Amino acid sequence: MKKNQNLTLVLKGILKENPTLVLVLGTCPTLATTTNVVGAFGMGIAALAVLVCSNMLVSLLRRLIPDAVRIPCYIVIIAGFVTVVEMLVHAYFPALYEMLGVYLALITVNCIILGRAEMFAGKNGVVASAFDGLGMGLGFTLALTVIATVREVLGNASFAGITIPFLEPYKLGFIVKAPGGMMVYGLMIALTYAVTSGRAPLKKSFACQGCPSAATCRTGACCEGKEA
Amino acid sequence: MKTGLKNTLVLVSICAVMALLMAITHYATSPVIAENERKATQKALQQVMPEGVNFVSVLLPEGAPDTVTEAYREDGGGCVFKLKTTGYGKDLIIMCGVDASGTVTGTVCLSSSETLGFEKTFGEQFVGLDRTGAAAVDTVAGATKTTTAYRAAVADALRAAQMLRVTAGEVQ
Repeated sequence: MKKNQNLTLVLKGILKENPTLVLVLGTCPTLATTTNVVGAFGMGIAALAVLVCSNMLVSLLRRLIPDAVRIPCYIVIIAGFVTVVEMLVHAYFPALYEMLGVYLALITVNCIILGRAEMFAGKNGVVASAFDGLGMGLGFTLALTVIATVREVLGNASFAGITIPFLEPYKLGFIVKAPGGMMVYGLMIALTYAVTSGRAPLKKSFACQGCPSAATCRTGACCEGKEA
Repeated sequence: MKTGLKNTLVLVSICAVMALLMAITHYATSPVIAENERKATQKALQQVMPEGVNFVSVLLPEGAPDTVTEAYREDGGGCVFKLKTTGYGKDLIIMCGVDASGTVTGTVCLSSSETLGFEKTFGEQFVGLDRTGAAAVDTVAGATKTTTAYRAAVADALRAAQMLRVTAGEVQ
């Protein structure tokens, strides 16, 4: 029974509640690191590592952290793990470190990580939180890699740095720039909606619940009191 | 008061634990990072001066141009300089090798944030040129900021090479 639940958690993060394409979280690194496949995949894996570690530690300490200092505690934990991952990438994957640049440090403010800490790890057990982090991290990596594939192949006629000769004359330069990135991202969200339509959570109901200030929010049209 | 104290204690404890974790990782990874950087510098030095042997870091000569950040000398009397200038974007970092006779042996762009990418190949034209030749290299229309800065950096490297040789007593 438990194994099934954990598997559901992982699969949920990959498609039905994909953080990038369904929950629309972490859009900054999505647009910035998807100009090439290697950078996108590396960013996804780095974020996955931070997500699993921070989810587990937040879950472990969830009964000890007082509500008033919840957010600062979560941020210290997340920032700490991001620093550790950054140092490890710098030491053992220097080419990836150069590629990701400042976006590696910016994983700290990636909404996915704080969002999952708030929404899941703060209220569930360590093992479940680990699997949730794994699912969300895999979903993030998958979304980033797919978007990067589209952008690099169409915009730069290459894949993971390897040039595709017969596509060279047809490459669309704007796709690797900001407007192209927004376009590809938007189209991917639409495609995901079409594929999961009816089964994906309504963005509105998720958005309110996931917000850290839901308890003090007074916008009447919101879904106060609604459970997950 | 009590809740305030508890909150502070929890936050400080978490900070302490995370700080310890970061300190351990830093201790373990900083030698690896330093070695990687040393290897990358060696590779770049060999790239701009293929015939160079035994590069040694030296102090910058007095009055060296501002763009020169590091200087190396090798056994054959050649020098390699790391230069930092500003093209269209910030921090255009170039490595330039000058042999004992004052001719450029090679120049490569180590890192840049230029928009058009000309800095990646512009350096090839300087190989084998001396001060007059290097000053006469044409800039690229549409990328004048990048290429003008690059040309000026190479001129600085040639000047610094001359200064190093004067300091070492090799020339008047």
